Amino acid sequence: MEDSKIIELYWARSEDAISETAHKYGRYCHYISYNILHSNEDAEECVNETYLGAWKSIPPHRPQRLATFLGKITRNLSLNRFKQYTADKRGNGQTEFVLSELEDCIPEPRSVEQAIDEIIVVKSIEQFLYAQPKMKRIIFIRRYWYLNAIRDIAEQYGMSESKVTSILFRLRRELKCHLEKEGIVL
Amino acid sequence: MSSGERRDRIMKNEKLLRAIGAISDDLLEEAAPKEFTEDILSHSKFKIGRHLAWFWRVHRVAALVGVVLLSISMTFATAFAASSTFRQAVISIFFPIYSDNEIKEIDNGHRTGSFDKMDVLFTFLEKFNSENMEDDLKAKKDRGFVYTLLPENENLIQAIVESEHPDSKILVRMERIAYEETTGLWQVVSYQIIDASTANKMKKDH
Repeated sequence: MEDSKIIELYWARSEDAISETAHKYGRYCHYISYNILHSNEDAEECVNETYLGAWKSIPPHRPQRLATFLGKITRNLSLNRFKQYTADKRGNGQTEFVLSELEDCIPEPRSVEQAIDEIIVVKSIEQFLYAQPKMKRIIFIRRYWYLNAIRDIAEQYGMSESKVTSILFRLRRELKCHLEKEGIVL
Repeated sequence: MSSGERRDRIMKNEKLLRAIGAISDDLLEEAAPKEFTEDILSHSKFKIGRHLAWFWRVHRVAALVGVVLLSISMTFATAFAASSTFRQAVISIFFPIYSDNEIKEIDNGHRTGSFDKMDVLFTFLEKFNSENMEDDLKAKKDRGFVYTLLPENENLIQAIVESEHPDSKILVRMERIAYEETTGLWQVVSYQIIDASTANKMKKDH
């Protein structure tokens, strides 16, 4: 079913919206959640919560792109759940690695009290990504949005793991410089 | 690093990770895992881009095929114009009416009748009747066949032949093909049973 029709079902408060969403995007949402939580059971729960989140937010929202709308909900829910598990062994997947890698991107705090405007940060990251070659941009997003393992990224794009690691290292360093240049302090 | 500092860093990392989570849909779609691209990219500009790419690929293949066909055609045309042997070989492929033995007979002068269109027509009509080529229909023969010739050009002629049924006529089409140094060989290339009114119209239009 086309996205616009699924969204119409949400607006009509038809429960078919959930089943159609699950049919079309269930695997995608599960993929995102599993990469964060590394537990089928937890991923399944997050995906179900995603449907609930979509049910609650449509209406009033009318997402232009349902897939990424759902993906973002799933990712946030999964990160929230991961946060609950950080002291637990269940979070032993990519998330901890990704979090530790991202330390490289954090500028040294010059004015700690400075309020962080997330929109500015997001725009700045987007600006940085658009300035990158397409392949590097994709690798960055696969790693830090989809939280894919470096091995999987290397396999999918026919590169060695060391090359992917090296690209990501340089990108993190450049992102740090970019954020500093923009005066962004996290 | 103390545990407090470490926790602080992790919180900042998490903040950054969440900021990355809010990047634009375009960027996300561009990096969508291959196994989900069909679903995710529906109604997006990337899908259109993929269609354009497909369209472009098809056109490139078509252009390549076109170039190959053009090259073959040009080679064929050059050989056809330059070589009489090749020309004869091609003609014999497209008009495979005469066997090698028959050609030999023609070369030896035994079947010179093939050079005469009327002889070819009568031979065909004799065969038409004797082999009963059309059930219950024979060419009318009353001190010879009754026919009307409708020449199209010097190498193509049609004959409307009377049959034993007044309402049915036999339309015979003959063509002359080039043969070595001769004026060409006539041969029947097709026949068709037509009704009297069609035959009359053809005669009238001619």
